Amino acid sequence: MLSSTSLRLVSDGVLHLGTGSVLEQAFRAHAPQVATMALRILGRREEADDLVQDVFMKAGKWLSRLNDPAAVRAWLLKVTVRLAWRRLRMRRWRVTLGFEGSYDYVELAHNGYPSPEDSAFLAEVYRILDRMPARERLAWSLRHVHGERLEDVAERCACSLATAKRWIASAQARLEKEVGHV
Amino acid sequence: MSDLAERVRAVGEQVDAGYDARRTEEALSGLNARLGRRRTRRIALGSGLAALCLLASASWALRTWQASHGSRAQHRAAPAGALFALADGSVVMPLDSRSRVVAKSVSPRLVELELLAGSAHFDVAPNHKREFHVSAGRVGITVVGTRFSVERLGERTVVAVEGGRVRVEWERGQQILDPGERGTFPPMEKAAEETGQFAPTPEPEAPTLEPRAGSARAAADWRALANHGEFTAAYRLLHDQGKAMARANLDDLLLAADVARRAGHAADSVPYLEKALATHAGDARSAVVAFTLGRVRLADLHDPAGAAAAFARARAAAPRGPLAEDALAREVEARFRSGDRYRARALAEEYVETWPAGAHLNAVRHFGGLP
Repeated sequence: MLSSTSLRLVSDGVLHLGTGSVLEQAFRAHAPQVATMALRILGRREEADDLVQDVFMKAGKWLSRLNDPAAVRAWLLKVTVRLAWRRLRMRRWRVTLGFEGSYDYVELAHNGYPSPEDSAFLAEVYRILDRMPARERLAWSLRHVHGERLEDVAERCACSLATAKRWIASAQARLEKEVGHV
Repeated sequence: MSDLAERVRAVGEQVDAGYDARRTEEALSGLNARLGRRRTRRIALGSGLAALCLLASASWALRTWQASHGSRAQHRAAPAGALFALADGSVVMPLDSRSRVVAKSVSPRLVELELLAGSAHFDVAPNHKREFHVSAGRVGITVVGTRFSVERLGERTVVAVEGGRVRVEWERGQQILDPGERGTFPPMEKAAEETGQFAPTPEPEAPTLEPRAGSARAAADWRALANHGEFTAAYRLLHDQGKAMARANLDDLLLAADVARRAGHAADSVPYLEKALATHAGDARSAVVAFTLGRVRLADLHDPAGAAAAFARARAAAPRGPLAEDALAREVEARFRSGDRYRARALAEEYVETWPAGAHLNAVRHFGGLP
């Protein structure tokens, strides 16, 4: 575990959260954002929780090497996207090989939000997303579910802006075509 | 932005992982537990890897040790002037200036060499997966792992075996030579005729009351069996009529000794050999007899002191004979094995001085304790 002498590496927001190792403070500061992004990409709470753990397991190895404290959040979110992308690819392989069936995404609604109608709509969208290539789904989720800017989507997906736009447009076209017809 | 996108954005903003303070602490506990398990796994993995590295290092060290010892052995067996030094450690050394050996085939399964002229010493590394064949004129020698010398003498070839066993083949026959044995091949026509006289006689003879005649027929029978390779049967006959050997000639005694040894009764061959030495001391073959006795005592009876005396007697019988070098080398070994290191060293020095490029130089240096 990292020592508390590395506190300078963590952003100011972390320092106000209490004592503990750098990793623990980083977790308390950024885990909610990481978890929400993971949930919006993956659509499944249990997978999102696992992904959070994976991200901070990696962070334990790399956090001390980040010289810019302000970069911690961006770095964590980028790792989140990369690991989510990997999970989406694996999920498609499992479905292709018959190890996994369809998922209804009814659990996506949380504590009564959104409304039952919106929850059903969102579940339908995620079921359509499940049939898309992982990269298109990822870019579209980041852009329209999580509300990222196009430049941020391109950076998190490690692709050019034009490629990010193309992926998003492709996913959008398919959703426009299939929503309401599923 | 399309209506669909706007609706997704509006609904998506309400999708939250619900990581409040309590949920975050729970997740953090889970993370710490995973980190702990990972540390445990890494320690276990590290220990396993360390053990593997240790094993690999030990294996590498062993192979290095074996390789260095193997190369040393090859270096010992391949002194300067070797005609051939094969990768498996087999070495062919010239024994005179006329020695000419050519390789007809060298492969992992077959080595075929031909002695074109002169004589050469072959030290063949044991390898049951590879046949080692030497041809010399009309004679072919097949070995598995042994040390032997081959000398071309015009149309004939002399083969002398030091260790292991060789099979010598020629147009009309073949013969196995054991350690210490030597022979000239193909055998002389006279020898073939002599062999013929002991062939089994198909016509049964009339019963006779004359004991000497019966004794002679019995002798002929065990000889015939011996010449046909039936040593056990020959030994049985020989053992049954032992008194008939009281007046045996030198050939009979030597053949009887050979029969006893090949039938697995090496100790029984000693009396025949000693009798041959005692009754035919002046015979030119006494050196061969003494050498054979020494070999039996050393290799079969594990009597190095008796063997050393026999080898010394072989040298004394023919100080410049063809067996003198072999006898001296064997005597060095026998003295060493009997614990007489001082005598072994003195004899080794004598060997080195007499045969500075001798075929047994390395063995003699070893047993004599010479550098």
